[in-house]
Order: sequence, then structure tokens, then C-alpha cells
Amino acid sequence: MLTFTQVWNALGPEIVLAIGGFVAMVYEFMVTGRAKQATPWIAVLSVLTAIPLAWSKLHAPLATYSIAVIAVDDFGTIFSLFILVSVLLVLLFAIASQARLKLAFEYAYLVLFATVGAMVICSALDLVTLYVGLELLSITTYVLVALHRKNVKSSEAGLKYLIIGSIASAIILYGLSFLYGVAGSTGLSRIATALQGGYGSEPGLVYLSIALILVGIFVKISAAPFHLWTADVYEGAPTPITAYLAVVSKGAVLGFLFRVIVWLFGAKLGEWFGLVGWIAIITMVIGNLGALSQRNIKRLLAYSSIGQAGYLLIPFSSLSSSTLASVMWQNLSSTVFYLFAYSFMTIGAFAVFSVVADASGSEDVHAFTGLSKRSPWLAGMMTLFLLSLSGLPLTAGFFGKFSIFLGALGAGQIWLGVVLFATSAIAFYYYFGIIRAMYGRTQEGDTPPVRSSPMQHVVVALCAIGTLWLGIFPGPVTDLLSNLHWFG
Amino acid sequence: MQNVLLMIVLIPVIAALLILPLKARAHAITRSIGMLGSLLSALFALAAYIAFQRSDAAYQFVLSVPWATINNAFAGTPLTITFAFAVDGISLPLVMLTGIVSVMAALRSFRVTERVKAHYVWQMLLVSGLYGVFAAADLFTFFFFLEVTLVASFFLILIFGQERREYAAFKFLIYRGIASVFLLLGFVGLAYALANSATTVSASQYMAYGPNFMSLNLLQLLDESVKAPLALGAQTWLFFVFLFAVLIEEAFVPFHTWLIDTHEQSDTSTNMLIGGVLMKVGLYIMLRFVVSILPLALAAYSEWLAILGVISILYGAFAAIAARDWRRLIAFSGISHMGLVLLAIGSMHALGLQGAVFMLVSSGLLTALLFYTVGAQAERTGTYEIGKLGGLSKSLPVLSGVLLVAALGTVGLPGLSGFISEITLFISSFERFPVVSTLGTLGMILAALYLLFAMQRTTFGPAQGAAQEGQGIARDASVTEAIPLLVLVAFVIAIGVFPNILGVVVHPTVQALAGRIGG
Repeated sequence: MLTFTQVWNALGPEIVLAIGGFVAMVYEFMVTGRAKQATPWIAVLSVLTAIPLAWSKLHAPLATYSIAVIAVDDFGTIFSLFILVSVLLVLLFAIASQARLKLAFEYAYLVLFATVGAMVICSALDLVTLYVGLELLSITTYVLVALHRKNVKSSEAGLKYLIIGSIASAIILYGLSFLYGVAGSTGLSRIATALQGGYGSEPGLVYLSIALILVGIFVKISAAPFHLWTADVYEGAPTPITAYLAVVSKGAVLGFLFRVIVWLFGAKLGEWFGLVGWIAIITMVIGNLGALSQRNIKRLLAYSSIGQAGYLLIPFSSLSSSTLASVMWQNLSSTVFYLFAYSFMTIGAFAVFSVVADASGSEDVHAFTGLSKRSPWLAGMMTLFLLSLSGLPLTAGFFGKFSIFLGALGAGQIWLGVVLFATSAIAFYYYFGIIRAMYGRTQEGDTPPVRSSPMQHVVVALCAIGTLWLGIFPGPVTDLLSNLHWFG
Repeated sequence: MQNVLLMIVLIPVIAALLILPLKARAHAITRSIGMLGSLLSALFALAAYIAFQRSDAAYQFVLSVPWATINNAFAGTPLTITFAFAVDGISLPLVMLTGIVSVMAALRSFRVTERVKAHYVWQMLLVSGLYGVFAAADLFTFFFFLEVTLVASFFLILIFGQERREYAAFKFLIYRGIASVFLLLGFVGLAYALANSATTVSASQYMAYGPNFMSLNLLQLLDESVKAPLALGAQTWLFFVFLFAVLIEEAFVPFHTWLIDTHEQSDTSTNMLIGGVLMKVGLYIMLRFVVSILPLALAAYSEWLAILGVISILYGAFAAIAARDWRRLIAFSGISHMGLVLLAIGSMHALGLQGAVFMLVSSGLLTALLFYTVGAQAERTGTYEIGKLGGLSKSLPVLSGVLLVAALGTVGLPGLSGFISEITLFISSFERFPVVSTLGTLGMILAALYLLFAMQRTTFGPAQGAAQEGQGIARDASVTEAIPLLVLVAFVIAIGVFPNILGVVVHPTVQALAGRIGG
């Protein structure tokens, strides 16, 4: 029987978030009028409490805090930290956009519940726990996407996301069920034992299971050719929620991928991971080519995030092709580093976009026309995020890509690295298209100055600091990552 | 003196940072800071030239600042990325070239009246990037500054160009962006291959990381490439990756169209910096990385270089004959002259390499001079079209005189910098590729044809078209305009008459370099 202390040790940050979520829910329910505006701050407070809790578990050996269904290892902890930092930025972003977006305050606790799910799937050691976490994340995000009930696009996006997301969840569940069938247990360790470092006694069923799990995950992280829902959903969702989907949801499901596949099939990685490499290549190419023709910035960023998913799949695919532990550590660190970089630059870009779109009432690239005159600060910040997304030096994006490239090279997967940089060159075109609008063109007629609240500046500044910090002084973070014990 | 290169690179950045908070209308102080920044950097470059140990072929003023470490980068060993600077006899002349052209461009930018602040900020960043590229002693540092030049030039073209500036800026960005991708691949591939092949590293590194050790530091890479040269197979792959990058960077045929659009659309000071300095970077890459580290592949494919060079020489020359716009003519003439450098590198001889460096510097000065002059003329007459100009020697004697010097220098008149470059370069290339080189000299004859013809149309004969209309208000070069012209002309003549001011610096390094390729 588990004691409360054991559960608290294993799931402290998640418990804090869940309690914060319930408090926010009750509070939002009980108060009226302006007092409701405090609801998201409760969420912010609980995230701020959870971050040091998660941080304190870094470097703890696997056995210290883990319980049967939850592993507390550095892999899970660092993913939790990534999720918490990103959620904090998203919450601040949502608070800052509240004045115009008029989001229902339910989002505050829904985001927290989704985050609990996101953190659980990065550290669960049991198929049922994993699935519950995944569904917690998915179902709350279906609601979040459709938060603007009266907005047709938002409702449509919610429905699309619901249908596609549920199918993906069902496919993953189907895949997991075969594992249970083969091993007779839902515990990852038991399953790994039953598979005997290979595919166990029923290789056919295990193959099928891997295929189903991968397909479901590819849908969730919007890897091509399973990406078609992405642009519509990102466009329809309220912008802070779009940022949440693009960053937290994607990152957490990537954690799920590493957790399940590496844990269960670590010894057999090399056999079929070429497949993931091809998916990564297709995703990079389709994402970046798709973005070329987009005029709506949200759709453009959606396609860009598909491309980024491709970059993030490179380390996963490179894990497999070498038996060297160092290659694995390098690829895990580059994944986490890039996730942090991706979080700062993507949320930052969405935050600036949201201010600009509010000012002009349009989500088109034209909304950015002449921004350098109307708001030099925002134009400068947007340029920084775009340069980072295109991977130019001294930004987080460059160091992240470079580190992914080295990982691929170390694993002998040079072609993945070549495609990474080749598609980055394609991406120049659409990222600099926004820069062209901001600097090269001037808006005709009356140009109202862009109005922005101090809170919006705080979000943008935080993201900019993160982007520059990881770009200029990556040392502390790379040192931290290289000292982790990942899976125990 | 240790930090002189760092100062050279940093001063323009500091100038840009000082300009940033200024008021948009504070034109005078913006210009002064920009001018001072360029001048100070150039003076430091001069100091480096004076302090440079002439007889020493090795890198000097070496400065290395560790920046970040990627653990497990190569077979479990970490990769330390540094910001490292150093110059030798090949890069120092190009640093000097950057100094001269940047000061002249800063003076020229006094004529900019719209968005002055943005112009100087980006120009300062471009100058810093150019210095950084030539002074870099680390592949990462090199790449970083190359990307700075990419972004800064993009903004300069985008904001200050002519009607089709957006098109030109994007073409510039995409072409050079793709070149950067290849370059980065080449760089990492080079470091990786050398780490794989290196068996000898310093004792302390061996203790720490075992025998194989990845580095991006140029000095270390050169060292490794001597002790454990790469196999021909690896060299060949890398050679073609670099060659492809260089063909795009240098706008060699068939990748030349971006340069024509860029020059046609950019304003004068940007053209001076791009045409005069940035367009030398590609061949500098060739000299720096390909000749020194991939000698086997170079030897195996040197004919390719010569042939590619001659294609660009002839294509550039014929296209320049057909050009109706001075900027297009200068752009094509530039491509043609850079083809000569490729031919010289293909000759794999110390004299040829020396000629190549001379040609880079000479062509840089002359291109900047040509752009300055035709820019100044166009400001008065309102056109760059050769057909619409005429008789300017009467109304604009100083500008016309300078244009004549620039044209003659480019054609290769003895006593000017072009001549000494061409003669050294052809002597060695004839030895190795007689037929191809003969075709190459044809390019020089054509150069005389197109330049002198265009000259004659512009400056002599009856005043006509736009020139006629402008005659009433046209005034010859003012003092601030005349200074850059005369300084550039002075350098062109100085190198032509006393080639040794450059030769003493270049010679030991190219001798050592030629030793590596058996020339």
C-alpha cells in the first residue's frame, strides 16, 4: 500500500497543479464580475510552486522517489520542467490577451489539468497510467480549442481536433492493448521483461503494436503525413491555446514516445527506426513547403510547427543507429535543448502576433506591414523570434539545430542533418516574408499605433530573454543536460 | 596587440549600439558615429598591418574565447565552440580592404537622407560581419559572421533598394542562405572527418578525451590536416560541398543572377560593401579551407576550377558588353574578374595564389570605386543607363577622371593595381593550363572593350539625354565626395606602383600554402 509521502514524492508537482486547478475551478464558480480575473493567477501561482518542486528532484536516482506506476528519473523531471516553464509562459500570455480575447476563465484550470496529463505521460511506467495521462491531456485540450464557443472557426477547430484526436488516442490504445496481451501486464518493466530485449514470443503482434502506437503519436505531434488537422485547429483555437498545443502538447507527446519506445524496445532500436527517419524527412519537407503559401500567420506558424516537429524527430531517429551510449545522451540532450528553444521562440512569436493581430483586426501577414514604424520594439522582438526559428546564430534556434545536427552526425545519419539545414533554408523565405512586411513596406493611410499592455510586454520580453540566453550562453543549460542521468 | 582583431570586429557593433537609441532625426550625430566607428576600426586594421610580422607565414594575433561546449558531440568527447580570431598573409589584406571600403562607404552614406539611423545600424553590422569573416580562426566564428553579413545585407537591400528591392533582397537571401547551408555542412563535415582521421593530438587533450577529438578551431584543424591528412575520398566529398557553396557565394555562372539583381537594386554604399568586400568571401573560403585542407582533391579537380573560372570570365565579359546599365556592367565585370581568381587557384602555384590575393584586393578597391563613381553620376543625372549618359567630362570632370582611372585599373593598365594582379596570376596559370588561360586572357581583352566603350559613351561625346537636362544643376564632386574617391584611387595606384606593400605580407603565407599543395 502506498503511503501519501510516497505518492507526494513521486507526483508532487502534479498534485500541486491538480489542487491549484480545483481551487481555481471552485473560485471561478463562486465569484462574479471582476473578481473572476484572479482565476488565472491561481493557476500561475500553482505552476510557480510546482517548478521548484520538480527542480528539487533533478539528479535523484531512479529508486529514490519512484513508485510502481511513476518513474521519477531525470528524463521525466526535465520534461516536466520544460512543460511547466512553457505552461507558465502560456498562462501569462493568456492573461495578457484577456482584455481582447475575452476567454472564458475556465481555461485557467483546464490548462492546469491538461498539464497534469502532459507531465504524467512523460514519467508513467504503466500503460493504464500512460493512457489516462494522454486522455487527460487530450480531452481538456479539445475543450480549450473550442473555448470561443460562439466563434465558428473555434467550434469547427474543436470538433476537428476532437474527432482526429480521439481516433489517434484510440489507435494508441489499440496498440497498447497488444502489449498487454503479449506480456500479461500493464507495467512497462514487466512488459520489457516479457519481450526479453526483443519482440517476445509474438513478434507479429508486437510489430503491429509499435506501428499503431507510432501512428497515434505522429498524429498527435502533427508529423507528416498525419498533419492535415494542424493548420485548421491552430487557426481556429484562441492564440494562447494554439501556443499551448504547439509547444506543451507536442513536447509531452514526444516525451511519451521516448518513454515507451526507449523503455520497451531500447535493445531493438536499430531495426526499424529508419522509418522514423523517413517520417522526420517528410515532415520537415512538407511542413516547410506548406508554410510557403500561407498568408494567415497562424496557419503559417502551424506549418512551421510541423517542420519543427520534423526537426524534433531527428534525435529520436538518431538514437537508434548507434549502440554508443554517448550518442544517445547527445540526442536526448539535443531534444530537450531544442524543446526549450522551441518553447521560447514559438510562444514569443505567437505573443507578438496576438498583439499585432488585435491592433489591426486581421490575422493576415499584412497585419505586420510597417510594424517597424508603428512599434519598433515589437518588430525587433518578432525579428528575433523569426531569426531564431530560421536558425541563425546567436539565437536559441541555431544552437538547438546545430546540436541536433551533431547528434545525427554522431549517429551516422548525415542525411537527416542535410535535410534539416536544407529545409531551414526554405524556411528563410516565409520567415523573412514577415520581416519584409515589418521593415520593407509601409502601411498606406492612417496607421494607428499598436496598443499593447505591460503584461504583453512581459511575456514577449521573457520569451526574448529565453531565446537570447539559450543562444548566447547555452553553456549552463548544456552542462545541466550532460550531467543528467536520464533513465535512472 | 593581442586583442586588435577583437577591437576591429567589435567597434562597428558598438557604433551600431550607440546609434540605436538616438532620435530618428539626429542625422548629423548618427552619421558622425557611423563614420567614427568605421574609421576607428580601419585604424586598428592599419595597426594590425604595421604590427604584423612580415616574414612569418603563421597566424598572428591569435585570440580564442571559449563560448559553449556540446558534450558527447563526437564519440563521447565534447566539442568546445570558440570565438577565435587570427590573421595571416591572406586574411590581413582582406581585413585592410574591408577597412578602406567601409570608411568610404560610410562617407558615401552621408548622402542617405531617409531612415538614416536604420541605414547606419545595418551598415555597421555588415561591416562588423565582414571583418569577422576575414579575421575568424574558428569555423563557427566564421559561419556566425557570415550569417551576420547575410542578415545585414538583406535589410540594407530591402529597405534602401530601388523599385524591385523586395525581389532582389529575397533572391539574395535565398541564394546565399542555401550557400550557407552547404558551407555549414562542409564545415561540420571537415571537423568530423579530421576528428575521425586524427591520430595525434596534444598530450593534455589525449589525457582528457582520448585520441579522437573534434574541434572547429582553424589552427587546430590545419595542424591535424598536416599530421593526418584526409583520405582522397573524404576530401573529394568535402571539396564538392565547398565548391558548390563557393559557386553560389561568388555568383559564378550559372548561379550569377542573384548578384546582378542585388547590384541593380541596391544603393551605392551597399553596393560598395557587397561588390567590394562581400563578393571576395567565397574565394577567400576557397583559399582558406579548400587549398589548405583539401589539397588532394584540389589537385585532382584543379582543371575543373580552371574551366569553371574561364566560363565565368567569358560569360561575365560577354554579358558586360551587352549590359546597358552601369551597375549591371560592374556586376558582370566583377564576376568575370572573380573567374580569374578561380583560374589562379586552379594553377596550384605560389605565384598564382599571390595573384589571387592581389586580385581580390584590387578588384575590391576598383569595384567600390566604380560603384561610387557611377552612383555619384547617377545622383546628378538621374540614371545609370549608359545610353542616356554622355559628355559628362565637361560638366563633371573630377568624377569622369576617377571613372577613367577605375576603368583603366580594371582593364589592367600597368601602374594600377589590376595589372600586377593579372600578370602574376596569368604567369602561373599559363604554365599549367595554356589553352584555358588563353581563353582567360580573351576575357581581359573583352574587359577593355566593354569598359572603355562604356566610358567613352558616358564621359565623352555630346552631352545628351538625362545628362543634358541635369547639366544646369550638376555640380562636380564636393569635398566629402572627393575624399573617398581620391583615397581609393591612391590605394589603387599605390598597389600598382609598389606591389610590395601588399606582397611582403602575402608572400610568406602563400609560399607556405603552396608548399601544402606541392606548388
